Amino acid sequence: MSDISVLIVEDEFILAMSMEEDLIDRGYFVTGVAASASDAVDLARRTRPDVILMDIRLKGEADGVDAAQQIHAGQYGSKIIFVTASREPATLERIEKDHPAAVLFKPVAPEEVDRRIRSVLEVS
Amino acid sequence: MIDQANSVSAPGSCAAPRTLALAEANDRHRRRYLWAIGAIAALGTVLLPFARLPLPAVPEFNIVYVTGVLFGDLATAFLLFAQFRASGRASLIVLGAAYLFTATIVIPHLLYFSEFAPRVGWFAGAPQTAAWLWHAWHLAFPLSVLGYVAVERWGGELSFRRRAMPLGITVAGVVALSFGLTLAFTAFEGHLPQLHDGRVWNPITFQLGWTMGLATVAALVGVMTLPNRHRVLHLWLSVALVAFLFDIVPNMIALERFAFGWYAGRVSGLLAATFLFVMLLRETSSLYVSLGAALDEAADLNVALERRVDERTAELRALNTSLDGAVKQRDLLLSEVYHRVNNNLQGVSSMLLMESKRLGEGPGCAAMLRMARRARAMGLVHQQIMGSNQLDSVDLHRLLHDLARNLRDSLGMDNRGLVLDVEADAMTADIDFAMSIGLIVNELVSNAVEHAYEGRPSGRVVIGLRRENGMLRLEVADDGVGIKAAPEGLGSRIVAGLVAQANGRQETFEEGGTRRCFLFPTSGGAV
Repeated sequence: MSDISVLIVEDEFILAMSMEEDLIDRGYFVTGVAASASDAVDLARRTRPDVILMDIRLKGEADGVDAAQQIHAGQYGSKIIFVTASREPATLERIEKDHPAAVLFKPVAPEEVDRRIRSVLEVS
Repeated sequence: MIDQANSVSAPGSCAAPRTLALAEANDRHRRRYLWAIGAIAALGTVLLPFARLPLPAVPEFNIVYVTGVLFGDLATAFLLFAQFRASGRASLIVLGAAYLFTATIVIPHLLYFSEFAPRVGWFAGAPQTAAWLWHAWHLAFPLSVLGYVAVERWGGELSFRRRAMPLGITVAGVVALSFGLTLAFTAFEGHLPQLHDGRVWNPITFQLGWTMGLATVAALVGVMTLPNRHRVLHLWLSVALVAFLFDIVPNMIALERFAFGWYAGRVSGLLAATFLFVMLLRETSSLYVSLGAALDEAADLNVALERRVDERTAELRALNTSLDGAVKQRDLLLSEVYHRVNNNLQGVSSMLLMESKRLGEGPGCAAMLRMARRARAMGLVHQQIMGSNQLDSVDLHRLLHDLARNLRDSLGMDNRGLVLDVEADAMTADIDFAMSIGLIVNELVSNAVEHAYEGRPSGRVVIGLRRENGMLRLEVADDGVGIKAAPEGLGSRIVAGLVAQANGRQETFEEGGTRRCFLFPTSGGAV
């Protein structure tokens, strides 16, 4: 299972840390943690993860949807799972336009994250 | 309509009557009246000594005179009848009749004077017919005015519905009277005294003249002594009567057709016939002028009013926009607050999870996991409220499904062969009630999974939320080993406290497992 690589994009340090720790415990390879859209794009380009867990609200002007669009444009081959606390219709609409692999709503159980990553990558 | 017409014409009830015949004279009217009456009296008196001056006979002059009288009297009669229709004053019908009679009697007078009348049968006429008709009209007019004075003084008003019939009868009566008199002065002319000898008047006309003159003076005095003599109508009627007097007097002095007095009398008679009409017409036009001014003023006011309304509308629109903005601002702020609360709760639950992993299996680890689940349940409620439009209600149906998914994962139910189902009606609730429901369900499901299935390979836990007889029924049922397996702990106290907080009742059943039911009043925030 260590062949699955994940990039965590999350500006809340504690959530990012908890997620990272849990994913490592479950045998994933975490390629990095980004707190801003530009860092996310940069890390995605350099580490080419299989899956990116993308928060919407990030540090700086650009948000997770902006980052996801740039990453898609770069064709790094990463599947993007949005992990958001927001259910605002406007935000959800923007997310849908990006054709995400999956959308998870916070608070989300680690098991749910695990299951979604597997289903997105179609591994059991 | 009827009441309005009556109230307008009721004496003294209205400061500014809308009918011309009832209008009070102002200073300008009185000044004009004095000028007119003075001028006619002075000119008439000065010219009286020349009344006998013989002048060439111009019979066509009589045609002009009669045409003018006919037109003036007919128009005045029409105007007075219209004023009667408007005001209902019975006296006006009498005055109108006086003018109508004159207008109708001048027609046969002209026909017989100018010998236009057909010389057949009873209406063949004779030399005296025209003269008799002239005398009849000059006697009837002042007598009718006296009648008007009497009715004006002692008569009343007719209601709106009762005005048409008297008017019709009066007009018909006046026409019949003229017709009858004409017949009398033609068919029975031979039986009447001779008024003139071709050109020179007989003494009898002198006596008739006196009668006519006295009647006119009496009518004048009558009008001038009326209680409401200051009405515009009465001022101009007085002037007309003075002019009428100077139609009669020069004739009496001249005692001959085509003398200066004969011509002068007819000029004055023309004045008498048309004066009232012209002055009433003048009043009408000045009414129209002031009406136009009033309409202009009203239009100006309207424009100002519209501008004010526009300004006010713009102010309100601006206020509305700013209020809209304020509401959006508030929603944004609320959304931000909920978002932060949600994130912090997720953070708390994450930290508890991390801590639990470091503790290893044991009661400490279990307590940490329970706390993590509670924090996540609270986070889920906040997440639901962010999805609602008004930021003030929680979709309970969706909350329970999300909560169940979380519990399945965090309790590892799948791995233990346990199923968790939700059977919930669609409903919403405020955040406090939803928080209670979320935490209660979290405790009960956790409790059931932790204690009811020891040694069991599989099981099914069901969360139910139903409307029932105006109450809300929450149910968590398991098919485990029974309630005795569950130790009294913090979870039980949390459940009991939250149920009491939401004014609920708790019932517990044991029938092949544990079924715990709670009834909440819907006024507790659920919709």
